[in-house]
Amino acid sequence: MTTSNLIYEIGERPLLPEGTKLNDITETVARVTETKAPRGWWLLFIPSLFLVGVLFASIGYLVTEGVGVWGNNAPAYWAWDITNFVWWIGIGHAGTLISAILYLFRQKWRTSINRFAEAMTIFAVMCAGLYPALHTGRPWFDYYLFPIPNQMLMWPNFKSPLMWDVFAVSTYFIISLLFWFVGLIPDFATLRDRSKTPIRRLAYGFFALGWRGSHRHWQHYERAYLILAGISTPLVLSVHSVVSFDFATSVLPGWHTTIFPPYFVAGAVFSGFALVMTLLLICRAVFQMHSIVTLKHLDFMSKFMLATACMVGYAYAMEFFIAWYSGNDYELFAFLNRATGPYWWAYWSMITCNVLVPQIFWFRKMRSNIPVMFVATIFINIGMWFERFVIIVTSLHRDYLPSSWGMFTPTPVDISLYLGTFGLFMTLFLLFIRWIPMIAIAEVKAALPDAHPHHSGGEHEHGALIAAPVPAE
Amino acid sequence: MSSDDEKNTAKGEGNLDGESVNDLSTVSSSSEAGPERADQADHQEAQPSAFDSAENMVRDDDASTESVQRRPSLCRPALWLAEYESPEALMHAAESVRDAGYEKWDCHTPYPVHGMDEAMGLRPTKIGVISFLASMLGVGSAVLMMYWMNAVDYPIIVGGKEPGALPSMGPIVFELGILFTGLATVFGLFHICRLPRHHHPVFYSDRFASASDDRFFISIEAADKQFDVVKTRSLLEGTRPSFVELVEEEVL
Repeated sequence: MTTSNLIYEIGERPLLPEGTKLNDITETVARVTETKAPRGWWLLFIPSLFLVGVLFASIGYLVTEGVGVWGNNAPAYWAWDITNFVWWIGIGHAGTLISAILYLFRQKWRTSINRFAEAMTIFAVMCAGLYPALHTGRPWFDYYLFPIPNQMLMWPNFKSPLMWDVFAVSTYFIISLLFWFVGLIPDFATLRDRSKTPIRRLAYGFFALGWRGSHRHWQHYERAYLILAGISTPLVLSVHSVVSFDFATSVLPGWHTTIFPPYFVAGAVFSGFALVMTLLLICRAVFQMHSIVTLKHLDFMSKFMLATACMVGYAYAMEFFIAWYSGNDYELFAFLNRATGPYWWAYWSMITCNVLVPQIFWFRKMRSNIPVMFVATIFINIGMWFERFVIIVTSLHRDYLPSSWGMFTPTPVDISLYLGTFGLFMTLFLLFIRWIPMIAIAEVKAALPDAHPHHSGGEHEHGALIAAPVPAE
Repeated sequence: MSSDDEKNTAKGEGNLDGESVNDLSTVSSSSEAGPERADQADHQEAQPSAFDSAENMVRDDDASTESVQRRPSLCRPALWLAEYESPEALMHAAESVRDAGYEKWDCHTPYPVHGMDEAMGLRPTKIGVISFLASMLGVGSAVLMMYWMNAVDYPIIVGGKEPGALPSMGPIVFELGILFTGLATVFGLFHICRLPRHHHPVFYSDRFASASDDRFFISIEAADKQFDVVKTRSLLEGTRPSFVELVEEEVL
């Protein structure tokens, strides 16, 4: 039980402060849902709710008037809507990465942030899904996207990458939701058992499914969780790859690239980590979670952002190199146009925010400076939005025929819809941190140094002494 | 928390002290009169007094008002519940219960404790079989669906490809395989664990709430073949629990 018994890998230290007890974790996390919301919560919630109103007003106007109220027009038929779709869905990827891939690699530090990141995934995918649904123009016919019999007696064209996208995104949403819920069951049980009021007991009890911490259940539960992590890992890699197929399978210069799938996945993880960090830094301060989300966790996340920033930077460079190396004039023009054409500011914002800013994370001082990290994550999110804007709009606005070149300008509805999805995301997120344990209580407990009996001979003998088995006759 | 602790030690010590030896003898005499087996519970309306007395003996250091309040007329033992302070204590206790040959018993922990599978003598989980079968079902149905829709029922020729071309099916085959696996794993888990189940007898114990916080429990169900109010109790008491409790359920 003492720390001297513990075997750490070289350089490894306990993730949580020494002497953290199981009950401390329950208290710290459950307290948030049991006490009154701090003022900071209301200060964020009310504007978010207002933005949800803006979202519904924009959708109402859009559906009544048609997609012509957006700035999309020849030749940029895809613009902010698809930019925002890709941006939001990319945000979600960090959640699955943290919860699934880091789980498979037994990275215990993930336990302090995974719940949070998974919730973000789900809400981000909800925001993302709105855009293609509305972009169809007549959203009441969106069921044509699914293979269900319809009045035209036609089936979807499964050779279209857009169909692949429908399946990838909806599978991603369902699996993320299941993964999240399975992780939540033991924590809902904790909240149920702490409930002081019948309403809380009923509500949390309903979702806890009568979980009683039974080890016979834990055994299957852990394996199920491992399987879900195992299938989510290729899933998360596939989702953004499929999103990138929307572009890569076309013949448009600037889109028709084989580097797209890994490049999109790295970018998605990059932006997702940045948003997780932004929100985590706020929640950590507002809800006093410093003992569970430590500087060490933030340090790991900063390193992840640095690594993915370098991958994204490599992809930017490689795109340019291949454009020149391919000897294809249209391809080369598309890239020169990105960097020096009318949208040069978008391109260079992207490079600055995504490649240059994250380089500060090479320095340990910067990885432990919270204001710096906060500002850097905001920059990264802006940069990643510009990346999608650059890919989509600069490729479309000047393609093969100069006679069909044009410019894209967003309209107020473009802007209000984008702000509205922020409202939706933040509202759902704030409701989540208010009512659902935002840190995986059971998983953090299992990551404590004393959480598991140690299998050493001496320990065992000692245990046998104190627990002399009584023969059952 | 502190008042809870006091209560805990008071009750726990009481149960583990020598004074409980007397109770044991009383209980054993009464339990000889009527063996407490769940499968015989249906016939037991004739002798509820035996159970009542057993319960009173166990709790004789309690305030009697509490037990009267909580217990309606007809109750039978549902399980023995032992509480432990640490995962080590739980694991050693689990080994004792396993070695004593019990089958319908369980450990309750706030998080999955590693090494408990061996300590409880559990066989490896088979949930992976469900997931695997479901993944194959997902892959198979995706291929059949796309082939039938795009090549048989309404052939669509796109990009000069054959209507039933396999390569373009790749992404959807993959996604549906994942979707089926995920759904089957989660619902398979619920099925194996028989969840949702909101009415398990362990919840009748007031102390059990801490099983989801910082305490570790062993429950031995009355449905077990070896269950005996007295012997099971002495087995559990030999494992140095911090508290032992007989949980009863109503017989309707």
